[in-house]
Amino acid sequence: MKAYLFGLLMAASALFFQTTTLIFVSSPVVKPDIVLIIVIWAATRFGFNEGILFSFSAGLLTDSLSGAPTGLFAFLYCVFFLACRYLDATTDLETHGARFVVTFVMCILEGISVLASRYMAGPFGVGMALALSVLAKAVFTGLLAAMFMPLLDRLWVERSRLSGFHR
Amino acid sequence: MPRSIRDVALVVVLLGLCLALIFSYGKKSEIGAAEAVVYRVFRPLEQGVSGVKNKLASLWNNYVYLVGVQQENRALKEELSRLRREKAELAAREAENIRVRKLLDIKTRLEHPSVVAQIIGEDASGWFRTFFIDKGTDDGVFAGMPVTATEGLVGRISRSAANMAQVVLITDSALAVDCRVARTRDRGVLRGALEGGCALRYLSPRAQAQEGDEVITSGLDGVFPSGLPIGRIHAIRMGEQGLFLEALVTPSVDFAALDQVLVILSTRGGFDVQSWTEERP
Repeated sequence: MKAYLFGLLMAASALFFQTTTLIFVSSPVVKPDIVLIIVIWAATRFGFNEGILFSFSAGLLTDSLSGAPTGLFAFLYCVFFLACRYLDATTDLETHGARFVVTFVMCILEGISVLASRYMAGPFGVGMALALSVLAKAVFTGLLAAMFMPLLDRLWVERSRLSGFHR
Repeated sequence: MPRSIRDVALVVVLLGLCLALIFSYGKKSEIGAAEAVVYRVFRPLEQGVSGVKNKLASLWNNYVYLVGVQQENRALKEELSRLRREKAELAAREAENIRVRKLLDIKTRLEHPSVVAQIIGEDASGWFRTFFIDKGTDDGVFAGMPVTATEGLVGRISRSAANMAQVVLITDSALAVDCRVARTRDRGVLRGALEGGCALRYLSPRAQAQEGDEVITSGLDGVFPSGLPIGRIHAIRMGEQGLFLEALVTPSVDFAALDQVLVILSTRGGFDVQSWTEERP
């Protein structure tokens, strides 16, 4: 439960940052998905039940604060959590490179999923500019993941030390 | 129950719930209780940051810039510097006055009552073209109401809580607007192109529209009042199916520089459509 609340606090902070402060530092086209980074990180740190409940809740929060239909990001984050959980069990996700690659791939998949759902709702032109914007967002999010996950680790350790909780 | 079965059950329940939410998501005019709580928590935070942003922008434009000028002109006396700072403050107030006067001017020109709203946040994910304003159902702002700026149409309210609402922009593919080319009266449907700008579709192959023509709302969709400027055509091409022309439109509103908008308080059923009278002199 503590891990869940910790994750939710991080996700809420990230969303607050994304809806306000990021306006000044990045174009909306390449806005990094910090909540996705936290979900991927949670897959390697949280217990299964806490992690998937957190992914679901973080997704619902993102749905509320974006133009997405309710449930879309909740679904995507749950699936990404499961995928990362599997990857964490079979490979080493602790290196900067692995964190970048996993986040990059998940962000691309997220982009394709969101755009596909939007296309089904109402067709729009798909061209090179859109593909490049998805790619740029994924690169930006991947790079941020490599830098941000160690910070999350640090916060996680501090929280564990203060609360006396260790996984 | 074994742990693995419990885990699988949890996953199935959550994913099923997500799918149920997605497929039950319709054009609801009000948001749910959970979303209302989220909006209630985020609104003061976002408004605070928006206020700080405006203050910083004002400081940068009207003070820091002047300090830079002062450094370039070191020979100027302290008295001159003080006067310039005062002048900058007055200029900022004047600019604010002009902007508000423009909004008020539009407000008086519109047939329908309207309310001025401050933009306090933007889309969290970046995959959608939406932003949040500081007015909601308490101010009479409901889903479906048109949102404009001094330059033209901005979008439409998509979700509304007590004191915060979400606006979907005309550059988002989820919003369709029935439009006309002002010069030729050709009709089409405008949708956001996601790659930037908007696309005016379903123009007749015999349409006389040209690059540079202004696009305005037709009012025939029953959502937006007629005659609101949207943007200018910058390219025309044949549509994918080869049946209709498609025009690419550059919106007249600079969404990146937007900080205040005007919400037209239409009736909740939208505007009355009287297409039979429109063509007649």
